[in-house]
Amino acid sequence: MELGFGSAPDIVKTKVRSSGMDESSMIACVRTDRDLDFGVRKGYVFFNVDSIFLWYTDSGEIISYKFTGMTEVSIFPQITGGIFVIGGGENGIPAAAFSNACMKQFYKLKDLITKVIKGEELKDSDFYLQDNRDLCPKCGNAFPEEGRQVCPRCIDRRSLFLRVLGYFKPYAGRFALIMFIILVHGMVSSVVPFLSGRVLYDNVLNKSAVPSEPAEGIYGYIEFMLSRESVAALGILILTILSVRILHQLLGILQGRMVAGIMPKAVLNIKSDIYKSMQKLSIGFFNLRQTGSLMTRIQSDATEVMYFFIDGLPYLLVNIVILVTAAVVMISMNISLAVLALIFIPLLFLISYRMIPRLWHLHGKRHRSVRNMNSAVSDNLTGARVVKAFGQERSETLRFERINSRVRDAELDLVDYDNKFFGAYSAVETVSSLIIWGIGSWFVLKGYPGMTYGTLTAFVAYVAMLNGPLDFMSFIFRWWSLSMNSAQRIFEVIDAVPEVREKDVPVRKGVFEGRIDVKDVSFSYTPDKRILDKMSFSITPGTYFGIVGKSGAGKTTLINLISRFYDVKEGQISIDGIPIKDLAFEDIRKNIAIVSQDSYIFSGTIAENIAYAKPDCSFKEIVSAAASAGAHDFIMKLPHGYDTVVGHGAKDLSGGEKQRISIARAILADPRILILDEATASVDTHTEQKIQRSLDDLVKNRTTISIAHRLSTLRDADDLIVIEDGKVVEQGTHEQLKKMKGVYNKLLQLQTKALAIKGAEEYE
Amino acid sequence: MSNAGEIVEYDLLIKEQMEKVDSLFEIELLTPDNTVFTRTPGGFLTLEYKSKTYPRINVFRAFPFTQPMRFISIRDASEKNEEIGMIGDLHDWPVETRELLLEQIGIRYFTPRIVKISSVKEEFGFAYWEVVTDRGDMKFTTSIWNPVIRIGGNRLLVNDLDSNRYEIDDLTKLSRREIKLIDLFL
Repeated sequence: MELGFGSAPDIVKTKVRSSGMDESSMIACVRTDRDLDFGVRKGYVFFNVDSIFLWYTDSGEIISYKFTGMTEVSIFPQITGGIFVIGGGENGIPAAAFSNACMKQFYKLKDLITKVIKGEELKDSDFYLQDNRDLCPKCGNAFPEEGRQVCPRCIDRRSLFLRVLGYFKPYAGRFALIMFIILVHGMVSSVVPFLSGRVLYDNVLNKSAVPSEPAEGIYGYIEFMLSRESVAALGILILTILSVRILHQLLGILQGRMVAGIMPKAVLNIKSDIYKSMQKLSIGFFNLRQTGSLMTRIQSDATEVMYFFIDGLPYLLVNIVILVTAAVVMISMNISLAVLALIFIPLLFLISYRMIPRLWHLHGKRHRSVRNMNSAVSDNLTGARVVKAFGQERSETLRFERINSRVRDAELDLVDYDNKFFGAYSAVETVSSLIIWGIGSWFVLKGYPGMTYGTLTAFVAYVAMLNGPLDFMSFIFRWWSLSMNSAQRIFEVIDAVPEVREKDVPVRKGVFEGRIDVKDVSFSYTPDKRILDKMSFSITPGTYFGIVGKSGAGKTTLINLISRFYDVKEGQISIDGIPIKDLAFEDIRKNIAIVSQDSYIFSGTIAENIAYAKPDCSFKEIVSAAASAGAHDFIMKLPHGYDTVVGHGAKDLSGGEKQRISIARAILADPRILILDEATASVDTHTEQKIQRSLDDLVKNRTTISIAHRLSTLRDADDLIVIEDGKVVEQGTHEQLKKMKGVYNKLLQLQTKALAIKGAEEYE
Repeated sequence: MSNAGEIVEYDLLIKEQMEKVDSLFEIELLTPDNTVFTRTPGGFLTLEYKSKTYPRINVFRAFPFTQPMRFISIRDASEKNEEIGMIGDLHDWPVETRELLLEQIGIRYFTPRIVKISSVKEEFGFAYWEVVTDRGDMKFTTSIWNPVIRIGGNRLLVNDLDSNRYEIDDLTKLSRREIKLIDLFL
């Protein structure tokens, strides 16, 4: 989001112009949603070089505050919102109030105005606000998910629907066939009541009205034949009904099988599309989003979407066909009775429409209470030691009972309402069929033209046939909306463009020498915060290079850039004199290996994990890599040795063991450039020594970049840089830096003294 | 710089760090005798304490729901809002100062009171609320997972996605229709 005045809403610009102010002098604008009494009021705060202005949209007046004599502006935070205060210390005056919805903008405004007051220059990036939840221009509600610029209420569901439908394109022929079967299936099911009602009673059983000669048309002839040979006719009729029923079942099975044949393939396609595009995406995409929500996208969203297409869509068609054919048959049999029967449809529809949301609601409530119960149980079990240690078994039992009783209540409410719903529904159904029976019988008695006992029986059966489809129609829309929302989330991933892309014709270098040049590199993840600021240094091939700095100084960022997980925005990084943007991804990945503090172990055997970067290596190589990483010994002690399955739900390794496996992985990869990102930070001293020992072997004969918090680990480095606020402040060897008595020395002193105070052994 | 001077400098540095750490473990007790609170023209408070003047202070509650008048933390106006000290019980303070502090508490803990719930619609995993509050009509969006928390008795707090809060004083005063609307979240 951009706060520059150019992006301000038109009403503000118009107001500024009509008040005779100079629009072009205005710098930035934010909206506010409260007045100083914290009441709801829409307004805008904007400023130029000498004043701040506040305008409430319901007032004609623009309030202004001059900067002269103003030392600072600040935000007075509340729980629900904040107050924008102008003037410093005891001279501070509240100028505007806002809710939390505007909090980020106001903080940005504060920064901008502070710069203006201090006479500093404003940069474009100062106006940029990342990941702010904005209001939907269509419905005015805030976008519910941060970083997702889509309002789920206002998405274009129709085009999404068509796009999902695109996944069925390869199966278009079969799809058309399914549609046809559905059509026939629907029509066949509407034949049975006609046969078992009208034909049975009127033509086979009714002996009073045997016509002397056939009426016109085929049906007339059949009628004539049926009434003459009644025993044979009964047999034929029963056989016909039986075969229609069998046909009906067969078509149903066929349709189900065909749908089941296509759907898993389409689901597979959409899931692998998501997965493929995720692999393509750069690290930046994953850092901005939570892993959990991405997993949901692959798993449940894809299933959610497809479920609608598997279950919803075919049934929708079946139901439409049944509704239409039933209605047509009814109307053709007797129009007045048909109208009478159809009159009740809206009523049934109304009941579903009014009651089903509540039913969903109660389902949701039960679901929620069950979820709460599950998490309470899992809390208790995982915390069993604590519960026992503090002797809280009784109170835990009571707590569980309380939660459990909530589940019971939710269940009872649901059952209760379910009964009410079906009660109301079947009451209307019963009343409507009673009325049809009553009036229909009256018609039959009165000898109403075309109204016979058989017609009446068939009619009542048709009325009953309408219920299912109507019921279905009442919730299909909601289902559709939910599935389109999932579809939207899926396409967001599929459509995302990777930030880091390989050059069309990349330079293929093969094996690197390992010289790295960083020149005037500036970088920021978000435009409002600069992490690296014109950083320059060089690393000689085959040397051990250390990077020191406080957390947040930009160490890991630097490594992300050298490994090209992100692209530099300004300046250039080159390896062996070639800009890394020109190098082939394959070469970079083959030549650079990273051992970081959170070593990741994939599901699989230990051997597979070690051979991750070089799957075709020999068993001997695996064992010798493990040995140089100091991992061989502990692996051999496992009952299944190198074939031990590790990772999710399998054998759990300790932090140090995982670390050594990832070092073995790096040794086997035999990279020209090795990056150690706090490789020993998360293990105890004893393990650290072991790891350090295995690293000693690893760093030989290659360029090594090491980040470490404990300066002692970097003492042997050939070259060290100290970075602070994104800049290189000192460079040299350990001894040189110590003599410099600058930042490095200070950090060293602090660490040493801190250790001394703790009684730990001296490192120096 | 001489070697001795250097050592002093580092020692000072260490001392400073240690003091900062120590201050996390000790709580200063503010009393009516050792403090002077004054209201500024802008409606904020200044504090004089231990011969130091804090031009603007923030007043936080430690137990906002269960002990609204006790355990009040006075903090400075810097970005870190560092604690100056704590007040044990506001009841023990002279009325004038108490009023001043309560005014600040009122500003910080200001929460719109919902007087009428017009509609709550649940869609796509979010709940869209339309309510009437004592400060006007408000529309907001909440998550559907526990957006409403009960704070003792029948008082409820609703949290929206921006972490704005809205208060419902008394659940029992809501109409049946309103209770039905929010029933899912109770």
